Amino acid sequence: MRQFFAFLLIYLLFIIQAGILPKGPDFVLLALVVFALHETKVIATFLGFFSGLCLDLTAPNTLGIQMLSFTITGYGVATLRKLFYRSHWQPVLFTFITLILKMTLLNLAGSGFQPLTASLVIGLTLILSPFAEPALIRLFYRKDFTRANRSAIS
Amino acid sequence: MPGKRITSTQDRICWLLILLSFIILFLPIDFKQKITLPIATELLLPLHALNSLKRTIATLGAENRQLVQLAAELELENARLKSQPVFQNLGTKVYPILKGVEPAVHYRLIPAPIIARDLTSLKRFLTVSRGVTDSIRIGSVALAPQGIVGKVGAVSSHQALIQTIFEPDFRVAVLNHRTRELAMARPGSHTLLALDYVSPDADFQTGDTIITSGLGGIFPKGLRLGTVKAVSDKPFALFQSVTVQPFVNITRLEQVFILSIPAEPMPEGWLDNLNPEEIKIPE
Repeated sequence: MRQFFAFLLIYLLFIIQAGILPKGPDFVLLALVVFALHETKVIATFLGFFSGLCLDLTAPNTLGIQMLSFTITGYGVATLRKLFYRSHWQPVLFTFITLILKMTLLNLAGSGFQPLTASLVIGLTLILSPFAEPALIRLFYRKDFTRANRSAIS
Repeated sequence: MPGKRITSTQDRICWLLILLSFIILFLPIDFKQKITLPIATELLLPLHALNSLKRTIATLGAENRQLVQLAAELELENARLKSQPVFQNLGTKVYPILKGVEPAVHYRLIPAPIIARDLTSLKRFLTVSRGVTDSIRIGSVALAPQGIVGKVGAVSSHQALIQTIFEPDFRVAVLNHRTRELAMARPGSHTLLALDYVSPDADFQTGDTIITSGLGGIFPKGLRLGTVKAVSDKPFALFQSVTVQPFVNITRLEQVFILSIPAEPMPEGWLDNLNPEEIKIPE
C-alpha cells in the first residue's frame, strides 16, 4: 500500500512541477531519491521508470532521456546505498549525480535548454535535497525506521 | 543459495527496465509519438486542466484591466454629459442640448500604476510609473472609475507625482449637481473633505452629489468628487459647514488614469475651460 502511495505522490509532484513550477526545483527527482533509499531495488527502478515516463510525455521528441536517467537513478541509488552507512549527505550526493546525468543526456539530445535555467534548477534542487528525506520519512515511514533495518530489505 | 537467487531475479527485472528505456530512447520520433499518444492523453489530463485554468485566470486578468479602463472612460464621458445644466421649467425638467456644436473630444486616458505612496498617511501623495514620455504634464488630472483622485504635481521622464484630494494644499472649485451652487473643496478630517464659501442660504442636503465646476482651469467640469455627508446648522455663521464623503478610496487604489489633453487651445467643447487664460478677471 505504501508503494502505491509512493507512485501517487510521484505523479502529484510531476503535475505540480510541470504545471506550476516548470523552472523550479526537481521535486520528482527528490522524491525518487528518497524512495530509492528506503524501498527495494525493483520498486525503486519502477518508480524511476514511471517518473521518467511522466516527465518525458511533456516532451515527446526527447522521449526516453529522462526515462533512462531516472530508471538508472532508481536502480543505482537502491544498489549503492549500502556503501554509505547512515550518511546524511546521501540524498544530496545522489541528487547531484542524477541532475548532472540528466542535463548531460538532454544536452547530447540537443534539447536546447538554457545553462542559466539548468543552473537554477540544479541549485534549487540541491538546496531542498537535505530536507526532502526527513519530510518523506515522516510522511511514509515510521520515526523509528532506521537505515540498519533498510539494509535487510535489499 | 536462495537469497542470492532472489537478488539476481530483482536485478534482472531492473536491468530489463533499464534496457527498455535505452531502446525507447533510440526509437524513431514518429513511432514514439504514436505509442505515447494514448498514454499521454490519460496521464496528462490533470496537467491540461491546470494549464487551462492558468489560461483562464490570465484571460480574466486582461479582461479586468480592459473593463477598468472602460469604466474610467465612461466616467469621463458621464462627467462630460453631466456638465450640461439642469433647468426646471413649470415643474418639468428640461435638459438643454448645445445646438450646432458637437463636443470636441481631444482627451486620452493613460493608465498609470501606483508605485509609491507618502509614508505619513499613504494617501496624500502617489507616485505613478508614467511620465513625460507618456504625454503627462504638470497639472494633468488623475482619475479613478469612481471619481477624481487629484492632479499631477511633478513629472519626470518616466514617473509622476500626484497630489491627491487629501493633500493639505489641495483645492478644487466644485458645485452641487442638484442645485448648481458653487463651493471650494479642501481636505477636512482624516477621510472626509470640507466645502468652503458655502453661502448660508445655499441649498445643500445630505446625499447631494458634488462635481467639479470647471473653474480654475485644472479640472474639467462634471467630474465626480463625492456626496454630502453632513451640513452644519449654524444660523449666524458666515458660511455653511459642509462635509463631503469622497467617492474614491485612495488607500485601496492600485492604478489611476491620467487625463492627457493637447497643449494647444482646443475648439469649443466640454474641455474649453482648460484652455490657456486670455482675459484676466479684474481684482
